[in-house]
Amino acid sequence: MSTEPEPPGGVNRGGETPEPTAPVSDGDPSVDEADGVELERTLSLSGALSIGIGTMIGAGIFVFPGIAAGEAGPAAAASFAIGAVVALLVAIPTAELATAMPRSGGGYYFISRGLGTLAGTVVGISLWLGLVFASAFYLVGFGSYVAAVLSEVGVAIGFDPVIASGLLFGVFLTALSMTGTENTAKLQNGVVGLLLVILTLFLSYGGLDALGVFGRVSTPEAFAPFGPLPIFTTAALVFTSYLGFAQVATVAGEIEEPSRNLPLAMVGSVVIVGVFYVATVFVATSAFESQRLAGFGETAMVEVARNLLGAPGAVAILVAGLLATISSANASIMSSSRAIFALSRDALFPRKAGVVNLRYGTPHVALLLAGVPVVVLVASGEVEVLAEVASFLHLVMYGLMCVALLALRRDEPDWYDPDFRVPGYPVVPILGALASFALILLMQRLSQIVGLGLMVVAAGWYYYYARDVELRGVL
Amino acid sequence: MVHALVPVELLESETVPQGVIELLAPAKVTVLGYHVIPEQTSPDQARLSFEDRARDKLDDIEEALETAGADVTTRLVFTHDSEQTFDRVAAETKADVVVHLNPSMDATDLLVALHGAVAAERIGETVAALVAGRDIDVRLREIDGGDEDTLNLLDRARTAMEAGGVDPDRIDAERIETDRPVRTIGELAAGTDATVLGERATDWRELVFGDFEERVAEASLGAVLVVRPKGAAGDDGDDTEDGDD
Repeated sequence: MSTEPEPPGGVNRGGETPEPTAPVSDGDPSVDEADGVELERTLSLSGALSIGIGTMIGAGIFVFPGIAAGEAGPAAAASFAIGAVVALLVAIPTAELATAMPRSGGGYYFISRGLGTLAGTVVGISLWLGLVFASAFYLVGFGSYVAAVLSEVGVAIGFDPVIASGLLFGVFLTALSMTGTENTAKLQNGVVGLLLVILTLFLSYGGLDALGVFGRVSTPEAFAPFGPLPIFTTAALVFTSYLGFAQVATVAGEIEEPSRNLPLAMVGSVVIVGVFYVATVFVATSAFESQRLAGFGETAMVEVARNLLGAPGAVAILVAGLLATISSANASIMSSSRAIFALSRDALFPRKAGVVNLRYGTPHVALLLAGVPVVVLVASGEVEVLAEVASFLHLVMYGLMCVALLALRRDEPDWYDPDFRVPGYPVVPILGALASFALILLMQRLSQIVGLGLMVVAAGWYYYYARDVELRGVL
Repeated sequence: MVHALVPVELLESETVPQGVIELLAPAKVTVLGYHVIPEQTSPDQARLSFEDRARDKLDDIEEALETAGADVTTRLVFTHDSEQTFDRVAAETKADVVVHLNPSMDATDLLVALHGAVAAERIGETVAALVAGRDIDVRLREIDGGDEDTLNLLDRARTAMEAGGVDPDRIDAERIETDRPVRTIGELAAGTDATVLGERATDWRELVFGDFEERVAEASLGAVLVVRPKGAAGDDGDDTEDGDD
């Protein structure tokens, strides 16, 4: 930033003031400097892409196809396509905001600076809890795969393995994060690459098969057996499959050459997973009719692979599903703790919430604030509600991000100098905001109530704790 | 004046031993205080928690070096990837030497190990700038396989050192033939206070076994000084991915 605005001000209930964040250097895209301390940016484009993709495919491919086909029939492919369009309408404005303010904290940061402290507090808490709900959802998905593996091997245990293994791994991931990991990013890159290879092979074969190349009979079925409305409600349900691009914004402060890599990673990851999702549903609904797919539940893809390629196919998808759901859960827990740090840095949460311990170098309080509620929510086992609440809380942020962009563009402050500007302004952000709020209206009543309740609590927290903190238009 | 870059992992209780401080007294020194953080933590978050503590340590080191007579600047970095940070700062500061610290206290006896196609003159000049006129012995060794073309490394380095003012009586030069150069250098390094190496192009073995310099540093008790090629110090470092400002 060449023209620095004034630093944030005000005091929270505990008497703490917001910390000014590091100005972003123009000259050297791999480092920032904050009062004489250098902060290295170490995430490459491929690393950023794999955070986005790795967070998303666990849901869209390995959990939803069966459920979505049950609700919308083969038209579930259209639901995923609608989700991709909405995600793109939001990802493009997000990319502009992120290049103007490439700081960690993602959507929370942009909204608190663009729309002020109240909106910022609500969105920050929504982001933290949205990621918590998402992690719980992924872990329940992981549990389904563990159960499928157990039944494949023929082991019968006396209790429900889905919740038990989800809980166990929730605790394990939290503990692992608290001791600090050095190379999971490399591992994540490898896992994402492997998953994409497996899926490409599988979907190519399945696609050719569905088009009748191998001369097998596929299941003819009406495209939208339940009419058009389920296509849209299903789009709202599966939107969780597109939350990952916002995680990229959460680590914006650690990405090299943010002006180039942030837009590429956000838009690129949405486009890539969108193509995979649509192809997956197409292949799945060609192999089985929707009602049978729905009967297979969360692990329907395993049966699809078995149908196409026999036992080896089923094993490949089982392994891929375990890897994908775990990497999604892990990425979400990490992002959730980043969101808490951003809140504590801005004095919306107590400073202690973001503190880092010297022994492991990890923000243990923030990780516990993310991990403990995740484990509690896994115990509910409500896949659809978990997914929808996660989407709800994110969609509020997405809609407000588009609004924040409009607000910033209307009276551009001196410091607002994005390297990437939204093509098709103001249509794209307006559509993005409207589409985000429309998806919220299409959800189940229970998800809407839980989501709204959490937002009200967040607003209450603002009035109780952080009413005097000034964040609007400061960096 | 030789410009040395000294990375110090401040919060892991790493310090600069007195011997290294003495050795670097005639040099321009950049102390790079760094702290490696896990992926769970953002650099800014680590800064808010640790900056003051790290600064105190860095100030102590700066003071000790200045007392010895060096011209010191300090930098403090929080990073996920120390290699990337070293490369970037070495290129920015155009450092001649990067110092890998080890706990050994003395530095009155210096091993200069020439191995592979290194810039012998440049190593000689750099060593001379540090030891000329001081109470330090230099063991100059060329380590190579028996059938290698020797490139006259030994003579070229010795000539450069003498031209730089090193007392010829303090230089003890010898060529060693071996099939296991890295192990041999490690053994030699274990018996001396500090070691000087030339930076070489990476070959496939290093990808398998780890950095040559790192392996020597592990085998040695004293500091390892890696002399960077003139090219790397002369321009902005093409090997980094930075655009021009």
